Amino acid sequence: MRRVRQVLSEPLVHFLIIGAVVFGAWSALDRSPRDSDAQVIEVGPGRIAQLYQMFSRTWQRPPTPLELNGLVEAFVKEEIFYREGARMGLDRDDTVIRRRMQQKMEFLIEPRDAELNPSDEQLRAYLAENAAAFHVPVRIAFRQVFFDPTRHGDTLKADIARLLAAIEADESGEVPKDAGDPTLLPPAMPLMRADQIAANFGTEFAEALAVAPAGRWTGPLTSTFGQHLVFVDERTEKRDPSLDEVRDPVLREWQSAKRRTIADERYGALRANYEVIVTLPDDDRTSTVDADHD
Amino acid sequence: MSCKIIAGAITVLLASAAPLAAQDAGALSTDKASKAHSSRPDYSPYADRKFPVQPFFGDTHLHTSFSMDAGAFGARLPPRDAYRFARGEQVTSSTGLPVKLSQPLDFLVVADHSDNMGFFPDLFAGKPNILADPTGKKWYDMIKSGKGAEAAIDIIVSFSHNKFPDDLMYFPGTKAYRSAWHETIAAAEEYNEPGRFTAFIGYEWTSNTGGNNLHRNVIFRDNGDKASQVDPFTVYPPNGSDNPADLWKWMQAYEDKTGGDVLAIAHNGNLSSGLMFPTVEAFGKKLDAEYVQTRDKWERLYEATQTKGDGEAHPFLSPNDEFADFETWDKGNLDGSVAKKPEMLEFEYVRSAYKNGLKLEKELGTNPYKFGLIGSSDAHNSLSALAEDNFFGKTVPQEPSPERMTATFVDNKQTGVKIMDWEVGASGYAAVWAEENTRESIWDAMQRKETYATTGPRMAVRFFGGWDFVAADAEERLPAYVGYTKGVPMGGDLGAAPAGKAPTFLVAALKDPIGANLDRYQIVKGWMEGDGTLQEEVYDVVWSGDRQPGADGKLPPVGDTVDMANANWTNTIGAPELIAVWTDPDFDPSEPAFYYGRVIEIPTPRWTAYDAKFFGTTPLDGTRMKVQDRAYTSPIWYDPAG
Repeated sequence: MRRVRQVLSEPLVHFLIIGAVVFGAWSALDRSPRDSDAQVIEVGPGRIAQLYQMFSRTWQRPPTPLELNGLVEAFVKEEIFYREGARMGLDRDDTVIRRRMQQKMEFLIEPRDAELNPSDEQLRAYLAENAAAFHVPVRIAFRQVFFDPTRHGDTLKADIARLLAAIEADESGEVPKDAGDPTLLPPAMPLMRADQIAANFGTEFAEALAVAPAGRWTGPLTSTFGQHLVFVDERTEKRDPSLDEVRDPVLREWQSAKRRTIADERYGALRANYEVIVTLPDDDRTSTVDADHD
Repeated sequence: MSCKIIAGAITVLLASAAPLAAQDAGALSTDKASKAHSSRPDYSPYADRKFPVQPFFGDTHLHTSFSMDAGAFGARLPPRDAYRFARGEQVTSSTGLPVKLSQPLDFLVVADHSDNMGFFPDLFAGKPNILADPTGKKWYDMIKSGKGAEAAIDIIVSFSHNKFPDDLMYFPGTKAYRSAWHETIAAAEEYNEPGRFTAFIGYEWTSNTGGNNLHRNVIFRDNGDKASQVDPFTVYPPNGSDNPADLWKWMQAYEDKTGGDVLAIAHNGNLSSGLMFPTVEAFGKKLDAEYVQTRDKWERLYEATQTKGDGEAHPFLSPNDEFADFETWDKGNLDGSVAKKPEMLEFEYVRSAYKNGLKLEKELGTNPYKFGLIGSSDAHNSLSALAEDNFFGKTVPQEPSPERMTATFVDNKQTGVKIMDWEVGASGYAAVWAEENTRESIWDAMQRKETYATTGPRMAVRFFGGWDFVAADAEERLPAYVGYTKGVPMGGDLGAAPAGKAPTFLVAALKDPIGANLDRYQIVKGWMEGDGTLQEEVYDVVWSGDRQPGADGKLPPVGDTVDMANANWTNTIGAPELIAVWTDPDFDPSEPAFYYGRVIEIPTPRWTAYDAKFFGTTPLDGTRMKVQDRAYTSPIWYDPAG
């Protein structure tokens, strides 16, 4: 029995079992209706309980006897139409039903929780292999004073230089409250990734900020909005994080990759059961446009 | 509305910082405001800032392969992939194309149709219907006592002998036992990362009787522990209903049972055959005080723009508004089975609903159409990709291909309603001024309507109303600080008019950092005269360059730099940022009114132009190739009663 248990704990075996169960179910459903039972619709305690529960979970209260009767009648109606339709073969070449079947199968062969529960070693290995995706990027905290070119015209350069000189001359190094032009851009940004800075100020600005000297007012830097004097308060360098710092995202990505692998494997296992014969027509109708994607 | 805003009172924004019930997040009173706001202001204007400093962009309406119709169209990506894509990761689309967003989104609601969502009956382990079956109970007990392997063998044996109960088709312990709803919740829980990315739990309730679109998206403020206690409301009987009033009952029952919070967002009034914003009756029942109060309670937002047409205004209703005809879908209802009649339009569009809402408030005591605005995609391929140069269509067959510009979307031979794929718009996103990127903070901002709709670009738009804004406020380094200090943000109420004063508005817009410059910022005003006549007016408030309004009062067009052959444009016209203070020149304190902002970009290539260039497809006659994308803010209302 132990060996059986061992064998049964293999994911592939699970998959085969699931497959067997499902195909068994389908072939069972597919059997030709026998006259004796085809016209009987049993609505037993299990089904009633299910209808009862579906209603309760929708309405947060149990159905009244009248409502329960309505649920049963609706189920019976659906069942009759389902049986009649299936008997006529209406499900056979229906695109929607075929796709639905594919979806249901894909849903069924989803990995089990145990297969998506990696060890620390596995996560560490995944992190090492995909280090680039998990870098802690350069982050910068800074302040900025905005100059709107349309408000300054020819004096833009001189106006910026004058403010910079005034700040440098002031012992406190404080920027006058009314310096620069009004803007919705934030006057100060906490530590932010370069791509977040780019999302707010544009790429050109983010790149210039990355190499701007820290600890003093400098500039002007050009953004997608205008000119800026900037003060870099802090800059943290790019580094590789430890697993503990990025466990959640690494786990998500590991699981995402695992899901894809398992889906491919299981489809591959199913496909291996089939001999696929493709007969192309004699006249070649394929296009020569380079539309293939990998 | 009894609450009043006095000058200097801090806004609804700050109120939400206090531990108030979420249900009250939208209601402001000076009492609440003073509790939320420290009595002595700090010297530094930046200290203890509680108001939102950045808009969060997202999509409240995205379908995945779990939606019946999306699956039928060939959608392959489940909710997890939708979240991964929205967070900025590259995925492979259902048609095999690699795709990535230029910038990640801040939040996403996967809103799959609730009808037919569940792939599998609710059969997972321990459920009554399993236990009611003796064989099922035996297996369940075996698994529970650690004999899963033996149970598995027993199950296989049952199968091979055709003794397997029809009801128990699924292998216990597998994911297949869970319904799609629980998978949807699980995906949201997995990808929700407070502070970085918000994955909301939600679904779409798809009332569509006769092809008339009355759909609503339901969004949970709560986590999976509460959302998983219920099943989504459906339309098909006997459990469901196509009447929104029944959805509101479901929402009430959910909140009563779980103590949670939900809101509903309707969309596509343009496809409702005049049923979206009724003024006389709904579902055979005359509108009454209960209807208007209940609708106002649950439907705080409306999806004003999306792929199946823009819903802000219609040229038939607003003939003097040269920007009213934007990505208009007005040929028929959702399936084209009812052709459009002009008399339907008034009950389908945002602006006319706002106007009729003023009238209904007078008649019934509550304005049922006092909603804020958002945009979203309604894409059915798990890809919220709405930029003109990165548009992945509404459905899987509309993903980029040489054919999509010339294919047909809806073709109803009986009514003659025909809609081509090129008419699908690359629109839109929801922008939310929330304090932080969490379910609670963003949901609360939605509930208080501090939101705006964009048709794709991620521009930052501010809109504050009050009685005391002066021109110098637009010169402040921190316009938003002044806005929150002296007024209310979008979605708010002006309160009673001080004697002799007219409403003033502080408006500001910053272009999408990687997008096009701005043409103008307009304020749309609607009001009701003493005799009940409803009026509207569009004011140009601030614009780029030194253009002057012509004799007709209209501002000349901003110009056009679109290079169609190369699908390109330049920011040599327009302005990157617009800020101004505006005072209503035609204010009458006895007339109720609403005001909202509309920000227009300079012309840029429409997605069709990018397609024509990339695939070399020749557009069909009449294909729109340029677009002036835009944003609509939630209104600020004025009520003479205060």
